[in-house]
Amino acid sequence: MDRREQVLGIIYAALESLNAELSEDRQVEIGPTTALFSPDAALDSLSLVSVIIDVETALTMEWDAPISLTDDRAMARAISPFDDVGTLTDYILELLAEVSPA
Amino acid sequence: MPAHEAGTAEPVAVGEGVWRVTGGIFSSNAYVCAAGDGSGFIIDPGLDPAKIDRAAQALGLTPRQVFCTHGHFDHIGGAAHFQKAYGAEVFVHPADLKTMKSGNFLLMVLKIAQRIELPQITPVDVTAAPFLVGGRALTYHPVPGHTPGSCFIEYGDALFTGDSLYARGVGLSDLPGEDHDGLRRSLLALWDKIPAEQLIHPGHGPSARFGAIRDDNRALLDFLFATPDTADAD
Repeated sequence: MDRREQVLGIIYAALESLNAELSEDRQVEIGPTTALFSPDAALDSLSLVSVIIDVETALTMEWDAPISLTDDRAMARAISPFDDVGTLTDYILELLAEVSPA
Repeated sequence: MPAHEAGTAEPVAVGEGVWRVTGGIFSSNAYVCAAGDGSGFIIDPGLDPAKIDRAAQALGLTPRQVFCTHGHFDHIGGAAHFQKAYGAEVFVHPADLKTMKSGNFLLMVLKIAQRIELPQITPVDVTAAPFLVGGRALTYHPVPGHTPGSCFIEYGDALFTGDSLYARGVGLSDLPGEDHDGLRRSLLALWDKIPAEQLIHPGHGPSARFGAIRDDNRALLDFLFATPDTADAD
């Protein structure tokens, strides 16, 4: 499994965990284009926070290095890492390349 | 108006050498305090540092330190202002550094346009001797729960409780890092140790004597002492 698939797996697991807490009519469709923080996102604010914290925790455990998705570096990007699953994946891969070159 | 609060114009005198300034989108309380040697310090400067600064200037106090009860953006968001303007040292418990650093992320997801500047932090060592501020001890008491690094700050007869203890209601936010059971444990551990006459200055809402909170804050009593089948399931 390449690193992108690994990261996608972590994000999907966090979204599946969220879905497990949501009612049937509020389920989030999971895929590479799933909107996270945009006008058409299915996630509310606290759900997004929960997903991002879950992803951050899983990444830190998997790579045994502190990886922060919520600091001001993420906020300063021209394209928000939180737009959708794809932008989040790209951002995570960039961070991972710094702590653990492939 | 509680007997210990003098007037309604801000800053509101809420104790000897303690003035409250409420501001920002969450109506957070900051406290401007006289240190007794002509200088001052700030507790929990939130999202309206200009208003707090005007209050300090009107009181003739130059803030030398900023002490934060916890790292949420609505209590630490103005700290950098005082660091830059006055060289104030900013203190927060190290367990809240992550909370602090995620402040702008939380502001974004809460759809609040304002952003905060992070100050340089001096981590508080709660095992060390209390700070000496204006010749008096200032002590951090850890009360993890609302956030991992939440603390009460004791100075003279004042106890600044942040979002861990309110005069009315309970400090629950459901934000990341909150631990309901931890907050319950922290408060219960101190419940019988805080004197009834202790003046409590919370992060939101009015100040009150602890005895009044202990007797009248029904939501807090329910949170602390609810039977297992009615307690929250966190």
